[in-house]
Amino acid sequence: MKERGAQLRAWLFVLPALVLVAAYLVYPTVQTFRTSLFGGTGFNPTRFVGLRNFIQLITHDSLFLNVVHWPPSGALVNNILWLILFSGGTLLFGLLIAVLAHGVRLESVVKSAVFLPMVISATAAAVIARFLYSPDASIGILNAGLKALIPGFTPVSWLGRSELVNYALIATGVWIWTGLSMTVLSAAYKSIDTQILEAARVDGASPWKTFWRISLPILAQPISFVALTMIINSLKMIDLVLVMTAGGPAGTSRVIGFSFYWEVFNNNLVGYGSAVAILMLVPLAPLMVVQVRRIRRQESGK
Amino acid sequence: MRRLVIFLMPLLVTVFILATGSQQAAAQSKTVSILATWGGDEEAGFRQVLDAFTKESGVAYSYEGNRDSTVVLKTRVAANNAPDIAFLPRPGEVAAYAREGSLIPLNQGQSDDILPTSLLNANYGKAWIDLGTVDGKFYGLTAKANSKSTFWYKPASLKAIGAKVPDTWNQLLGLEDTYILAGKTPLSIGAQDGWTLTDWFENIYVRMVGPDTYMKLHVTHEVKWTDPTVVAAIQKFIQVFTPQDKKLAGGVEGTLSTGFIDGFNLILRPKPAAEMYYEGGFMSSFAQQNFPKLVPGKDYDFFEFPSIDLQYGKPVVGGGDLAVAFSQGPEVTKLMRWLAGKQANTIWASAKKGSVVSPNKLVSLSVYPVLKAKEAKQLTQASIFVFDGSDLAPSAVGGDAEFTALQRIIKDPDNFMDALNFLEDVAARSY
Repeated sequence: MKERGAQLRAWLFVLPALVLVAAYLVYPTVQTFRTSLFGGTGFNPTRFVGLRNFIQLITHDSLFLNVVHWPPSGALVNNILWLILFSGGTLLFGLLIAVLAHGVRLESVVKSAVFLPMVISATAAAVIARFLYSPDASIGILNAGLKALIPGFTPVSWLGRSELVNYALIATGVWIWTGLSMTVLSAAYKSIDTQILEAARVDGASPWKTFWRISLPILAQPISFVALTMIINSLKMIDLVLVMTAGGPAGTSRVIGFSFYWEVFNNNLVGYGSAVAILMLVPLAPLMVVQVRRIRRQESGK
Repeated sequence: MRRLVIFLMPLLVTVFILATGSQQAAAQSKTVSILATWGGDEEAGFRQVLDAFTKESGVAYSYEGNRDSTVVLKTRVAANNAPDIAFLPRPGEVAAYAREGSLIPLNQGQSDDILPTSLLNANYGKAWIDLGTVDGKFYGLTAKANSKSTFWYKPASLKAIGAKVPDTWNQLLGLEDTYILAGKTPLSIGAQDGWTLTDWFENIYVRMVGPDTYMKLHVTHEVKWTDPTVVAAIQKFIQVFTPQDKKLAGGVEGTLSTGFIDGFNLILRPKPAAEMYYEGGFMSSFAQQNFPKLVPGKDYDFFEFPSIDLQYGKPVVGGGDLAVAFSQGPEVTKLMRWLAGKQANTIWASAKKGSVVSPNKLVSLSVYPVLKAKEAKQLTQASIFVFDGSDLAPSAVGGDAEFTALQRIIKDPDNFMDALNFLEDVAARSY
């Protein structure tokens, strides 16, 4: 009797959260699946086209995937670039700063400075970065700085040239997110038992060997957590692209998240946009599952 | 003490929210809500019209200017929270919302219409009434019109090289060469804003194929983007900006990262980067804003976009914002009738900041400053008038893909067919 009462109470406590999840997560996802099978315009598309949206996305949308010319281009390709460079960059710099700033006198100053972009909204950071990259040397700090340092330097339009824009955007992303990576890895690094490091030193291991052979393997778990988080971030990326370049110039900085938003809200092709969202879900879903499993394992391990 | 404050916080917040809520409920007549994209000077001009309306009728208004109004409006309509009146920049959007059933018809030939037929006919010519008509009912009142067939130049600069205003396309190309020989860059294009390129294409296309084929391309998609007529028009366009490093300010890079306002500034600033700039009549407001010391008509002026095929002459490609009603009621009717009348339009046309060209035929041309009067004359006297094509086409095509395709052509004119194929792909799934 008492147990049934406790069970009921447990369900009642969870109920509000369940309702919210069902309303804002489950229902829209199901709706999106359904909408992606329809074509036409407007918020209630009526023309059933089956898998045509998906087929068109892969074969007939050169802004999404273009394999006609080498090198391949398109939103999908850009996302792969983000995946590699953004995740790699934040991980690398986060680790570097966490390790190098450890125990140094200006440690808190450095870490606060690196963490600062995480505190402001991503949109605000994007607007700041946009000004930073401005091709007008009287506005853009980057161009002004380079002009002062390199004689005969003509200002470069970092966001206006399709060969540079993706790297410029990824650099901004790394600047913003390194703070998170650094914080997690720094906490993990500081929690390494100093006795082990002492023992290694006594045994005559060089600092590099100590780091490579001892610290790094201990950091393996937090590193993979950060890596996974950054990979998921890179697949979801939209705010930087939307604010800084709106996919430009001529659609060369588009990413999947941006394409989905643009097709639905700017182009009014809700079915087509939903198909993009579903394609975005495909690589994301298994990654999320892995991440959640890992967190649960950690919690139950404790 | 601290615990008490923390405990009272939510209570205070709730009381505050309830108080403001009840304040709104206490308001007497309904406030008409309006949504448009206008900010800055454009908003100032519109507010003059709205303030005069409130003074006349006692009805309050609330105006929201939002550059992303297309997106905002879509979401609000889907959430049943549409503004009372909105201004749409595309007849295509008007048709879409009308067919969806979201709009209240302004005129369906009935005596209790928001805009009775007698009022409409007295104030507007047939071309403007047809523009706002969808399936036989009138939904969109054109509030401000503009010509996009105005080619900006500097009379002093033209005189300095001893040239005349070009009348035909070949004369324009010749003028570019003359400028180059004199060591100047002839053109500036604000290609970062892709719609400036669509305006170029539309003027060229309508001058080569006439209004009927123009409509077939943009409205019904009977003509495809890979059609030989489109190819020919693109090739003509390529003529005017290649070689890019000689003819365009900033070359390809500079042009693709220059917005539509900056592009104009480039020719007007003390050390100009180019001599001519093509964009619509509305550019004069920006010139006034950014270079108040320059005299309109003397330091900068426009000539009509040159003709290509003499049988079509110089058709006017134009645009406008159409006012539509999402809800009905006495206040909405009052505001709509005000917006359609001579008084409101005269105020708007003669506003110190953000004055517009009104398609209302009762507004006297003398209220316009010199350049706007020239534009108003061009609009009302045009033998052929077509609405901006990229605004006629569905937004996937004319609001996005066309921009991208044309930007690609500026960057890589040799491979223009790729861009046209891409555009046709998007069009195939949008109609």
